This record gives sequence, C-alpha cells and structure tokens, in this order.
Amino acid sequence: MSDPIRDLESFATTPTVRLDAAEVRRRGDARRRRRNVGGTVAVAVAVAVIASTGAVLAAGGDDRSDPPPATTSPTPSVLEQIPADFPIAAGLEGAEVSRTAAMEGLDYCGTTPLGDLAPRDVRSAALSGGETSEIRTVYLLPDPESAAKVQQEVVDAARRCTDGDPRDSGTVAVHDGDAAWPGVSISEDFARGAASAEPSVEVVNLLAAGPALLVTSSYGSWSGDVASGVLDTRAQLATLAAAMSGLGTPSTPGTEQEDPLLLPEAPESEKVGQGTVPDLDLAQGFVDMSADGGEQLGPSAQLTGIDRTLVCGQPLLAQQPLPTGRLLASNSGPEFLELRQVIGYRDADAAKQAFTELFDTVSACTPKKAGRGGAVMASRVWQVFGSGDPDSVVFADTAAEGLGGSLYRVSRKGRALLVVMQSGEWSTDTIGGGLSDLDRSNAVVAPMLCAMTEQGC
Amino acid sequence: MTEEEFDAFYDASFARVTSQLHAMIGDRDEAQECVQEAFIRAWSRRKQLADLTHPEAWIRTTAYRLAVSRWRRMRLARRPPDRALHEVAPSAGPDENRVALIAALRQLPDSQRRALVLHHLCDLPVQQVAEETGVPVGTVKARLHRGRAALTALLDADAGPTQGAAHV
Repeated sequence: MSDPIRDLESFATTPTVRLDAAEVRRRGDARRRRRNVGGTVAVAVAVAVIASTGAVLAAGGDDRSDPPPATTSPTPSVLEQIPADFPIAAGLEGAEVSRTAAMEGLDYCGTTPLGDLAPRDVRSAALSGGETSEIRTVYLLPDPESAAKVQQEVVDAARRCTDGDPRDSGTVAVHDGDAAWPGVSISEDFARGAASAEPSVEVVNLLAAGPALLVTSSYGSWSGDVASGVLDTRAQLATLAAAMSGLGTPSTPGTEQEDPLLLPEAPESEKVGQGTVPDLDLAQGFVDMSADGGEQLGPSAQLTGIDRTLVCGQPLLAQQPLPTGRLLASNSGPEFLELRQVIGYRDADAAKQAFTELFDTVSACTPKKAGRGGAVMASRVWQVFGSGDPDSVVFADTAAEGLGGSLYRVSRKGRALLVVMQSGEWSTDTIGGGLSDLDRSNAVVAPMLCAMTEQGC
Repeated sequence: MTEEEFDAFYDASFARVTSQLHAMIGDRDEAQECVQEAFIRAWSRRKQLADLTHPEAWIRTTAYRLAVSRWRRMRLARRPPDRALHEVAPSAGPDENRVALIAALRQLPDSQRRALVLHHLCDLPVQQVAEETGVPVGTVKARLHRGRAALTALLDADAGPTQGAAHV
C-alpha cells in the first residue's frame, strides 16, 4: 500500500457534470431576487398564529375542568386518510406536494426513528432554494398512541445525540413546546455557534395530534441563536398547527432531561401552605365564542402558558426563583385569544425578584430587535408600554410585518404574578389600541390575587 | 465581482473544491452537487463574496455544510438529475488506491477527516485549518495526529484495531 498521506495530497476527482458558468449566475440572480421579496411571507404567518391558538392551548390537558366536548376533534380511530384539504403547503408558495414521506432520513447520531414507519396515509411538501428550504410531512398512523410514541422516539434520539458522540454532525438541542406550538422542536447547529451567513441550523418541529404526526425541517442562519430559529419556524407553522388540531388532541412529549427553555418548579416541600395557588375563577367574564369555533379552557394547572415564551431568545420567566404553583385559563375565538395565568412563589420577595427579572428581560429586548436569518422568517417586535404601577408592566409582541400580535400585562401582587395576554389582528402600529381591553380583563382577575397576599386587599 | 471574474473563479475552482469535498464526504456525486449549489449561492451574494480574502474557502465551507445536512442528502435522493448539467468528463474508472483511500477516510470521524483534507489536500497551514473549522490550533494538531495514525492503520492490511480513530 502506498503512503496514504501522499495519496491524499495528490487526490483529485474529475467532476463528471457541472453547470455552465452563465447558468450558475442566472440561478444565483434568481436566488437573490427571491430573497429580496421573501420578507412579505411573514404577513400571513402572524394572522395564522392567532387563528391557531385555541387549539394550541389544549396541549397540556386539563386536570380540573371537564374534558372538552368530543365534537372538538374527530374520533381518531375512524380517520383513514389525511383530509384532501389539509394545508401541508400553507405559506410555501411553489412547494412540491406529494403523497410520499419526505422525513424518513431524519437522523440523530445514526438513529432514524422515522425510517421504518408504515403510515395509513402520508402527505409531504418540499420547498428549497436559497434561503428557503423546508420539508414537511404529515403521517397518519394507526392510532394516537403510535403518533405519540414516534414523536417521543424522535425526541429521545435527539437527546441522546450530544456533543462528544462521534456520529454527531452539529450541536443538537430539544426545545419544549409553548403557547404557539404544543409539540416539540429540535435544533441542530451545524456551525456549532459560529457566525454564518448560510443556512447552517436545522430546526425540526414535531406535533402529534390524535393519530397524526407532523414533522417539519427548516434550515436557517440561526447559528448561535437557535432560539430565534425555533420561534420563527413555529410561527410559520401556525396554520398547520391549527389544522392538526382537527385531526386529534395534541400530545406533548415527555421530558427525559432538563430543557433550558423549560421552567422547572420548586421542590414539593415548598408547594404547601402559602406556596400553592388557590382555586381562582380565572375564566370569570370570558365571552363565550364557541358558536364561532372558539373554546374556553381551564382554570387548570396543566395548560400551556407563557412559561416558555421567549423574548429575544431569552425565557420570559427566569429560572430563578422557582415558582411553586400555577393556574391558567384561556378563551379563544376567531383571530382572538386571551390567556390568564397566575404564577405562585414561596413568598412576596421571590415574586418581586421574578417580576424584576421579567421586567429586565422585556426591557432589554426593546425598542426593536428582530430575529435573525433563515427561511421565510417572521421577525418579532417587542414594545413596552407604561403601566403607571411599579409592580406592573405592559408589553407587546407583534410581527415586524403584517398583522398579528399579543399584548401582555404582568402584575405582581403578594407572592404571585398575574399574566393577562390577549392576541389579535394587531400590527406594531395599532396594537396600542388593544390596551383598554387588556386593562378591562386585568381588572376582572386582579382582585382575585388578594388571596395570595398576607394581609388581603 | 464581475461576471468575467466570477466565471474565471468558477472555472478555476470547481474541480479543485469538488475533489476536496469528495475527500471530505466520500461521495463524488454529492460533492459535485454541493459545490455547484455553493457557487450559485456565491453569485447570489457576490457583493459579499468580493470582500472575502479567500472566496474558495467560503465555497468549500458552504459546500461542506450543505453536504452534512440531512436535508441535502434527502433531496438528492429524491431529485431527478438537473437537465442543465453538462457532462464535462467521462466517469473515471476505479483506481485501487483512490478507492481504498476514500473507503478509509469514510471510516474516520468527521472532524479528523476534515482536518486531514484541509491540511494535506487543500494545503492549508494548521492555523488556517483551525480558522476554517472553528476549533483551536491544538485541537487541529490532535485531529491530524490521530487521523494520520488511523488512516495508516486502516490502509495497512496487517494493522490491528483502529484505536486512533477516536473522536477528538
């Protein structure tokens, strides 16, 4: 055998095919033109976020209220095929749609949990080119348990694929769901945090709902800031999330290890006496919008709230101090969502600290800081409004372009934080018009927190 | 970068970068596709490209990242051949040493393989390999040392276990 290093030094491959230089330039020019108009795609996304949120909030189930009526989702076992109008290509103009699987190659350190699936039906959409590269597949599996199991297997494979594994290609992280995405997301940063103008981060979003499992892959330039990629891609999938809820109840994967974006709770020893959140009627005054397809959920400790909401890539609620309890209620309707959430702490000092952390996080993200890079992304704009109360902050999150935004009021009283959030068809310029409704809703529930003060109100 | 400059750059670099990527990923066809795509992206960003000191390094890095992505591999598996591609050379017959070398390289961890190719095939000094791969110089040296040892062992018919091929 000859010297391998000398062989390597003289290694040469003669390419067998290539494009003419003029064709390379023509395609490059087309790519640049597409990139320049890509920002307009965000418009539809923001509206879709609002439309989908009712279903989104069903993610965590409800351990205090009655289960939702059976009519809110079809009976999964009778679903034999994916509905013909399932919007698999929503927001992906020009995508190739097929009835084949396109995510079977999903690979985390040699494990391909989607490789041998035998779905009853499958639908895919793929769009690639320049800064837009996205693949989506929805699998219809035999039953909800199968869909949840496959979703969990993907998450488990990703969690096992950590730096140091000789088969890993990038830095893998698992991101739990939030109010906009009741499933789970997995990011893999092939540039390992290095600045890169090229798409070097893949975000895989998974959502199991009934017997259906949606798996998507998006590439973007989020290296070093994968949280933005997760946020952007979830926003892009809002229409699909809503459509998935029509196929069954979302299933949230379990957590094998601590997720940096997941807010843990204090030890059980602290969740006694004053540490608990009383059974407050957080749904008081909600307008019934069920006739228009809306839904009220809660009060419940299990609903998805703002715990994992990211503000400029940072969790809205700090890791410390740890909350000792939570209670939520939500009300959704066409293009409207309201969320009320009470977060309890061990004492007033802890609640004050948590409020200060939240205030600092929100303030640091304003007046404007858009997300970075990536395929057809939706940049967010955060604004802080004066509340006139040192223990309260009002802020807004809107799409940088187009309609769709949320208003938040977070108040500290006693040993609790109260969050009132309303989402609607607002823009960055118009969202201030929603402040009066936000205040009215806050006024309904704020007195309830007197139960979480030492002296009462 | 003018059209003429880009065309000259493309003509001069395409085969060379394809060879380098082939050695890195072990698949000539995929290397060709990824390098092709990298050049398209380069032209779409030609203003930035003109500012780069080493545009070929940008092409190589971009092509490598495309290659390591599963998305890229999946698309390649499904996509029909591009009708605009021109055959520029008949496929060369298998050369025993080259086949063996590629087979051995594919058994190395990605990090060692990339370091070896950048240093020995791309002729980059260790410092530049470190910059291109984003790791310290010491790490590159370790990868080169272990990679060379592993490669030699893999290609030696009498060699024992390839204990040198550990991930660095």
